[in-house]
Amino acid sequence: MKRIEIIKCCAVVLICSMLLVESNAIFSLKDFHESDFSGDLNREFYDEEGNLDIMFFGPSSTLHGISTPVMWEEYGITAWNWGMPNQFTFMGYYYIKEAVQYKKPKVIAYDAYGLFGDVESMLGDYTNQFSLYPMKLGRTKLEAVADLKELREEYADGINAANNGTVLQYIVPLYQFHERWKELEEKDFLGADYSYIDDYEGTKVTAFSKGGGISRLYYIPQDVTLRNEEFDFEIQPLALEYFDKIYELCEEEGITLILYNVPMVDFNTNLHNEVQKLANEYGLEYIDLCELEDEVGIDYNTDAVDTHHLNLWGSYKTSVYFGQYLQEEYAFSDKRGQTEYMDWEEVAEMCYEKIAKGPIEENVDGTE
Amino acid sequence: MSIISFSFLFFVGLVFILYYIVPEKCRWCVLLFANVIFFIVGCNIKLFMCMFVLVLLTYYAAVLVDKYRALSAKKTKIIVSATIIFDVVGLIIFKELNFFVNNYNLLSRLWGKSHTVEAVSIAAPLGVSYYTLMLVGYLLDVYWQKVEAQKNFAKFLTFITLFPVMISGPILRYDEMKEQLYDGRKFDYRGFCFGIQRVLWGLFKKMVIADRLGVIVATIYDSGQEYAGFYIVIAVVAYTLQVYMDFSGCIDIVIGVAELFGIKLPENFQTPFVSVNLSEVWRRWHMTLGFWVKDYILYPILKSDLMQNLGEKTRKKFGRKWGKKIPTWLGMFAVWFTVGFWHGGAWKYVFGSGIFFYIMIVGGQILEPVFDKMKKYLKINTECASWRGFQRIRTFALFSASVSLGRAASLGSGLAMLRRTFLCCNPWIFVDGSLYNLGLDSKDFWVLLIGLLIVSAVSVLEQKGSVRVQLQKQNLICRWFVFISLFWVVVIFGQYGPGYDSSTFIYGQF
Repeated sequence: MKRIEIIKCCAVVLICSMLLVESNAIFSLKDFHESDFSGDLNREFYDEEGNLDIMFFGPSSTLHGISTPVMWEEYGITAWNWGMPNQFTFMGYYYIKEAVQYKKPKVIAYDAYGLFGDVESMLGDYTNQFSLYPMKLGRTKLEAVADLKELREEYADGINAANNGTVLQYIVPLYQFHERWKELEEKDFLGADYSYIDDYEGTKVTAFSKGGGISRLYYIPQDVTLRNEEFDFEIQPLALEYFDKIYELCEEEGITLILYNVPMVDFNTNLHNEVQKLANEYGLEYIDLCELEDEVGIDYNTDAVDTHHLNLWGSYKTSVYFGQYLQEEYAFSDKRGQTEYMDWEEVAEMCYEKIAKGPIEENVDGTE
Repeated sequence: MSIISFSFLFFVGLVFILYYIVPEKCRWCVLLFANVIFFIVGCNIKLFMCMFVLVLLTYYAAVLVDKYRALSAKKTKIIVSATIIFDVVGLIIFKELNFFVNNYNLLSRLWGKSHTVEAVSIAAPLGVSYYTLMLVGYLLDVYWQKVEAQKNFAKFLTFITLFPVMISGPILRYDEMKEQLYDGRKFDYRGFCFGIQRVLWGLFKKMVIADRLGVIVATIYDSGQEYAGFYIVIAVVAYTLQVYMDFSGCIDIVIGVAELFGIKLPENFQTPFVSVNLSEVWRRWHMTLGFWVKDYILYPILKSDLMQNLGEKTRKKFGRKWGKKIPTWLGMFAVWFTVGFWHGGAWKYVFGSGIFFYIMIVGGQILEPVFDKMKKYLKINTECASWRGFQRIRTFALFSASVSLGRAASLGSGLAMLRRTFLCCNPWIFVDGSLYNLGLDSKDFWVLLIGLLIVSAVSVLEQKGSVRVQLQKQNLICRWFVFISLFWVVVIFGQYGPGYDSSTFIYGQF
């Protein structure tokens, strides 16, 4: 093969690759369901330059229940909310593994509610796939995909086979979304701006950049007296297996792992006891903010949107309380006022503007 | 391993590198290694051994034929006949056994007997329909002294199991392939580019067009008796186009992959839908099968003593013109029955892909004087474009109606479906948006339509010479634009991903 022929081949391969990369960006979903696009929000993590004090992992209860801009504003803590829908211990493990490759925070806080996933929630749900899209293509992602595929085969009886995907589907969005050529819009070509999204698709949701989580700006009164104290759920072996991996990983990395859960009507004493037992077994600290909901000051009439998720004001109260606790316990340095952290100030400012505006009451028909 | 999969692309890439790394003399060994791997991954080691035994048997038979030819004509004839019977029985056991089971049960029922035999389900070796014909063809060529028997079994195995061919053919001939396979090809940049272009073109036909047509076909065919009138016309036309795009697309990929190794495989299609009669269609459609049945079934039958004697008798009785045709028609019956039966052990194939064409072609020859008189009486000008257009439409309609029987559950339901075409007249479905309820929306219909237009345009250009050669004469930017656009169109508009199964080819099942 002559040199010129090699150059020509390389040029064609390069152009085709560029075309694929660009197409991948254009055809990827821009309208993930409000909570699903949280994964996409975390793409920013790879560009984050400053150090992080703490990273929060867990399912949607964390995504909506922890406000890291509040922790910054109140205590100067640099925190990243990695919460994602259905980020139970399986996906939690791989996201922690991915995150610690880039940042070594002092503490990793894992939402104990993520321990209560069954096999279907952990492996069978479609959101696994969406959760994996934003993860950078690398060893961890390939490992996660291979593991997911293997586990789906192992637990084939307990999960919805319709969601079975190919390895390609998880790592190349175009494989699934090339069909979107029919519905492309201007924003698909311009690229979605995740830095600050208000009233997203009419659902009155705000997303904050720098791992600020997603906050709902309305409330739906919840009757806390309906909390089912009888409900019990044993932590599944698969969830335990991956929790163990999370623990081992943090040990290896020299990062302190703590367990916590945010206030919600769905949590009760039985679940608390399950987590406490596990925490004792591993010698971990466990902060049940649900048990402390009175101290936190949560009012389920105005601070929640359902029995599971807090709104912006609920997450504000939770983060003020939890931030103070973390500050006292782990003595994070106050970075407020430092020039290299100015962008954290900006996000916090946006967040507090929203907090000051006050919640919108959600009507039955969904309008303000 | 489907040839529409990333694992296949990876496999081809790996074999390609290995092929050109090793010295030219040993390159066929790389192909043999690839063939064995492809075969075992495609089915399993047991089925590989089934194929291996037949290949070994045919190999030794050919060697023995070469050895004993001068000594005993009778002996060689017995060896050849016995081996062919073994090969064909192998094919029948793996692919067509249920034809006999179903017919036995049918006859049992007709005679009022309660005894029935259960249908059998046997996994068939990869490409059994193709390599069996190649084995038989090779042995007969050796027997007829057209080629010398291959003395090296490994080389013979390389020819029979050539991996791209195992999915849907084409049916190879030993004399056309031996030098290409065993001499070791030098890397040719032009051939490499042509190969990739041909693969992309095949993917375009299969994934962008055939699989879209398949959605319409499945909606109508799988709906029971819900559709009638023009819907049936749409289904029949769509199925014929789907089979063409699917099969010719697969062949394009196969030929393209072979070109990467410097191997030129025979073409299997030559714009069949420009044919003006059914005989011509079959000279342009699945050409390697057509040539095979002609060379190894029709001619031997016509040259046999039995047919020669019959010919003499019929010439005496019916005159020179018709007497000559009777043995030919008998031979043609064997040919068409074989073609139909080869497509599958069911009457829908035997009739739809075989006997129907026999009836139409022989019927056309018998009625030719009547048609000639009618044309003369009606003063029809047969030397103009409109007449040729009419002939093409008529040929396409007859071909489609017949081929479409293969898509139905049975011959009966296929015929019943064709009958439903005449039960109602519903031309409004073309304008009231009803077509969009057949599984494709308007945007998909546009892609389908534009895709079909592109393929038609390329077919027209092909009549004047190879499009790839014409493209080669253009400037680099133009060439790259076409090449990269085709790649991108397949990536974006191809029917693949979750919920799709692009990996199967219609002719892969035959």
